[in-house]
Amino acid sequence: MERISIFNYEAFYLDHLEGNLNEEDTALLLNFLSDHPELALEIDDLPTLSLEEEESVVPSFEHLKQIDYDNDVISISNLETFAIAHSEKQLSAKKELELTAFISKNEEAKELVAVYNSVKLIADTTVVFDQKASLKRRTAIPLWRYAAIAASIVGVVFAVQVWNSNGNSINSNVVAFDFLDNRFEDENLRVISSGNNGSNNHVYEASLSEEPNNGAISPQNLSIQKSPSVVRKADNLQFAHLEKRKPQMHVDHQQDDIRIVEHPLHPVNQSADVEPTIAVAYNDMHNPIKPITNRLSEFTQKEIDLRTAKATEERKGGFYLKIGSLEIDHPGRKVKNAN
Amino acid sequence: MTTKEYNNAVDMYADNLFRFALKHLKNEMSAKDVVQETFEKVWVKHEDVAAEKAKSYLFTTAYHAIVDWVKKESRNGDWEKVGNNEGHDSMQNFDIQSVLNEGLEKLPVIQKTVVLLRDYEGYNYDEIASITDLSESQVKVYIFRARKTLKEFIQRLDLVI
Repeated sequence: MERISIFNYEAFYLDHLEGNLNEEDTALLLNFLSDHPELALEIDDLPTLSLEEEESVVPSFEHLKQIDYDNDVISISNLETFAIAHSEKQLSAKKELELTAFISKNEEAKELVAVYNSVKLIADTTVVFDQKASLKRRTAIPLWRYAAIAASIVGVVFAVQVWNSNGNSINSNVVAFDFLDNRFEDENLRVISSGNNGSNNHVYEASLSEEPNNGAISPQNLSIQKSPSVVRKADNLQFAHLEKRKPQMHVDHQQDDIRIVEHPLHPVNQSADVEPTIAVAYNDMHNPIKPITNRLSEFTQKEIDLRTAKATEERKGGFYLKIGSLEIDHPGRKVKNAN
Repeated sequence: MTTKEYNNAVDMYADNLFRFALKHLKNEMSAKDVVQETFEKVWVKHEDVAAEKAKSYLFTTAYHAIVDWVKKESRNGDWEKVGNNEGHDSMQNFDIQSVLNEGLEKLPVIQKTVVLLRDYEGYNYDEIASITDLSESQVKVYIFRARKTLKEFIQRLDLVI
């Protein structure tokens, strides 16, 4: 029986391909194939079992190498990195010169550097956030102090109104005016007289609400009021120590000569231990809450003014408050040891 | 940072933050949300933030908000979809900036971030590192890679003369 037949030749052939057949068996296999040429084709179709080394697919790690931008010489192999560094303004002046020299000799290098210079993103400033207002926060202003002052003023205004509506009589200093004995300065504003009780100056204005018939002045067309503005003018630099009391007027229209008298109900006592004060010029004072007093004036239809004076070396700060016809002032107290 | 300084920061940086967020998110509403969220967070801390550091603080906060947003959208599977919302046709926008913006979309998020901070806001590597929690050398590497990708992108389209 033959050692190689059509039933086992494949095993021999595989051994032959793997180089495991000895010379005798190799000769037998070749003889067998020559006797059975139809099998040779089939054998040719068998895949080659030997493995050829495939082409390397290991990636390059050249890019992991660090470039010494100051010392490495610019070349074609590292040009790209230097071109990027140039576009990023990371090169030293020396290397910039070297790069310039390098690209001047190489057109492709010059082009590459130009390309990298153009790889810069520019923001589209037409794209904007249109809801900025929703992001903003309101500034917190400590208004409590002003609110407290405003509330105080409102309270005083309210008290004055209630007080006036009850028809309270008011004390006054001892000042009597003889209407006919005093001066008339003009048709509409007539300075009647001024009184001086030693510490206070008062000027009263009489104004005609309508033209008198035949020059006759009657209580119906005459109104009289204390005039702080005239006081200021008269005193020039000083506020008078204004009375907090309303003068009570009596007009005796039974007589030809109209007499206007302020009745002293209670004399004002100037006690000896009252702290000495220094009057402050009106113009030296300022209104720290002018918008608020203006708004209150509009609201109440009364003149409201608040002025404060800063403390100096000679006196402490004072204030002046006017609400309608009510005026309160507090001259700055003299600082002890001040001349 | 006072309230006034905070409001000034709104005027100065809200647009920049919006553009920065829009470039990442490619969705106007989401970008607005990020800007809103950023300023809300900064307002909470405004007393502790120096006015001169406001911009950096804002961009850091915005960057983190964007990263969170991207992570959330990735989990929802909407990131790829959102990425295509802009609808630009690069063949119709044949100027370099349009194509660079197209190329920008091809970059990994971190490369996009550093290159936007670099080009749009002019930050140096150190500042970008601070905003993105990277090292300065990492920032440099990302910027270099981004430039290389963008260069290849515009060269592929034969746009550079």
